[in-house]
Amino acid sequence: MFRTRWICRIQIAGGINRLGSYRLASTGGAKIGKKFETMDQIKAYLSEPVWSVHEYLGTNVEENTLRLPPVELVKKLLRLSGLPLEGVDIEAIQMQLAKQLSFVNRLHNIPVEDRTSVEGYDARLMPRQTTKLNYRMLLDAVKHQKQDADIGEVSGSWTATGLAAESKNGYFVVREGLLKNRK
Amino acid sequence: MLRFARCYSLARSKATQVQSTVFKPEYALKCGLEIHTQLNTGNKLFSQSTNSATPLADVPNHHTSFYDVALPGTQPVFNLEAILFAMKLSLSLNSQVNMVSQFDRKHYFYGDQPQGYQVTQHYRPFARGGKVNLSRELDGIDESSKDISIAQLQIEQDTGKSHYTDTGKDVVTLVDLNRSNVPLIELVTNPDFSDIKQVKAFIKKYQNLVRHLHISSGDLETGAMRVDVNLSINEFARVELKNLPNTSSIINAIKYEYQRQVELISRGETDSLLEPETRGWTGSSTVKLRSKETTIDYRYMPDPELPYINLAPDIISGVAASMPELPDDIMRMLMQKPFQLSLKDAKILTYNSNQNDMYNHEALRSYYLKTFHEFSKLIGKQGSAKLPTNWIIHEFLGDLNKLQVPLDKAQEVLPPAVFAEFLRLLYTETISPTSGKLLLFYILETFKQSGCQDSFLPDLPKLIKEFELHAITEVDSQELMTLCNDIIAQHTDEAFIRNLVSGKKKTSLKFLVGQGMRQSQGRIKAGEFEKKFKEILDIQW
Repeated sequence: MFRTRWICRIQIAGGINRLGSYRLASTGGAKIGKKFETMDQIKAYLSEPVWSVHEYLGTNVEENTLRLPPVELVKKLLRLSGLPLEGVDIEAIQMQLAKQLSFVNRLHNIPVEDRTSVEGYDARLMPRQTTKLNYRMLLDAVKHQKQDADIGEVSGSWTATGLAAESKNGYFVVREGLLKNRK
Repeated sequence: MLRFARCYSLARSKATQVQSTVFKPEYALKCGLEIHTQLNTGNKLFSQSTNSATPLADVPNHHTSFYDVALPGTQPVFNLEAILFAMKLSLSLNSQVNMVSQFDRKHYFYGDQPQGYQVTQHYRPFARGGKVNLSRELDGIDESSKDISIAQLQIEQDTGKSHYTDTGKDVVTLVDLNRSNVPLIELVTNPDFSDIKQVKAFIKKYQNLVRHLHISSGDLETGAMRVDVNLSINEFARVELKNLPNTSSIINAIKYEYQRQVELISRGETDSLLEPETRGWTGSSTVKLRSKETTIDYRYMPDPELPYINLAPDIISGVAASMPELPDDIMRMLMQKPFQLSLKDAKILTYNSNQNDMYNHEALRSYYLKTFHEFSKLIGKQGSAKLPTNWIIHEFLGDLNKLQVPLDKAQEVLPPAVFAEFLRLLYTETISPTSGKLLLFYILETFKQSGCQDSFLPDLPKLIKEFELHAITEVDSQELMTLCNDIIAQHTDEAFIRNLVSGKKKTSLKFLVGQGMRQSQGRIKAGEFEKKFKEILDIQW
């Protein structure tokens, strides 16, 4: 249905208009289904669980035994994430974070087969072993660079600000208030 | 008016303060640099959209792919050309290239950073180590030689550009993402600089190096090269200086900050120097941007979408074999025999100033070397090195600029062999320097008038004959006497003659000789005139 051109890019088949027509790789058994017609259909699709923590790890999180992260830490994380502090349910966030931490702790305790490296930088989704790049491959890659208009790489092939809520003379507009006045 | 004058005097006192900064041995300056250099790869770092980061004429957001503006679902694909460029720079600095390096995410929120993070190399950068050698001979520093060691080189993506507008009622930021995802190399030096001259020399040398390797325009003014300074005095905490748009800002900011810290230390007010802080440059002073309490936690993490850069050993030898000779080696070659160029002239042939449309330094150096060898063949090994230098670097370039004829075009009528023949005519005094200037200009002007189309090689003997440019070897004594008497009558008075003859104003003789050279169009040698004027005026000194 859609062409795969790159090893590590998830393609947008038919351009941006069909963004919702498939699910990302991390969701496992992705397949192409019917085209979505409304936002509600997309929301319903994304909210439908396709896997669960329990299924994979057999965990059973008891909320009353969780150690909650301190309120100050939650506020710091909200600030770091550029999220507002006012009008948010700090307790709910504490509980969500506690569950996530509990999950991460479980992940850390899973025995890993064939573990050859304990380096932090090897903790990743991409393969640890990749093909070595030699000089000929490098020169070939430099020589055969190609722009793809389907993903906007050809200059002027699409209007970047066309999807923006606000733009001015071809620029994206950022309200100062978004960057400042953030408590 | 009074108010204006007051502002002016304040501004002046600040400038004077910066300029008069004295570096004292009891307050030891320790400096390191972080330099971001935009790579001029054809395309961007993690997409194939056009890398056109600096041209001011570009339409905003014109060179942006879905990835560059961070549309959801898009992912990076690494442009390997950045490896080639980074490898060239690493090898030229003698840095140790990591055979496995990786990309990491540095998180922070800003309008011109649509992903919410910058892809950089934090845990395993592209290269570590290496050095830049500065010397008194080539770089004008005080020490005879000084190595500035390199901590690391990392590849990373640039952000977009923010334009701040304030219409009075509304403050908005206009964001242009043409620069978003343009490849950068960040070079971090160790804190090895101990004075301003070294910093200045390093920036100039590094700027020339990236231009020499054709990996960046290296321009500070356009932001293609951006320099941050880390500075500390007497082992107090490090202060990072940012927003330094050009060399004079860098130098003045260091001077100002040094002075500020020295004053704090000498008054014993060192509390603020115990923790690192980041300061910006306003144009006349440094101001605090961030301290330890407000340090950004970047939450670095390995990028989960980009594979490691895993290099085969042959890549280093392959790139090394394709490297050009490095600027310091070229400079030393030009300053030694047989060329014996001055530092200034050697720099003209080695340093790319990006400021002349008529020639580039590489083409000019090639032209100079070829002409030099042709000329040496014509006159044997004992030839004068000064002739090719003066006539190519000064006279010829001057004509090209004046007539706006590019060097590559001019070479069609004056290839190295013809220029060497022209130099031989000067060397053998077949034509005088003045006639030589006329002849060279005439050849280039005629070529220019043809729209740089008539590229017939000039027949030098024919032109010399046609315009009677040959030097007069046997001067008619009577004719010379008449000419000199005319000059004395036209250009002197009694006091002039008295001062000249008495030796009180010996330079007046040069003036008279100059008039003679002018009237004879340089065809009669200066020495002949000097002899005759002395004879007529009975000058005994």
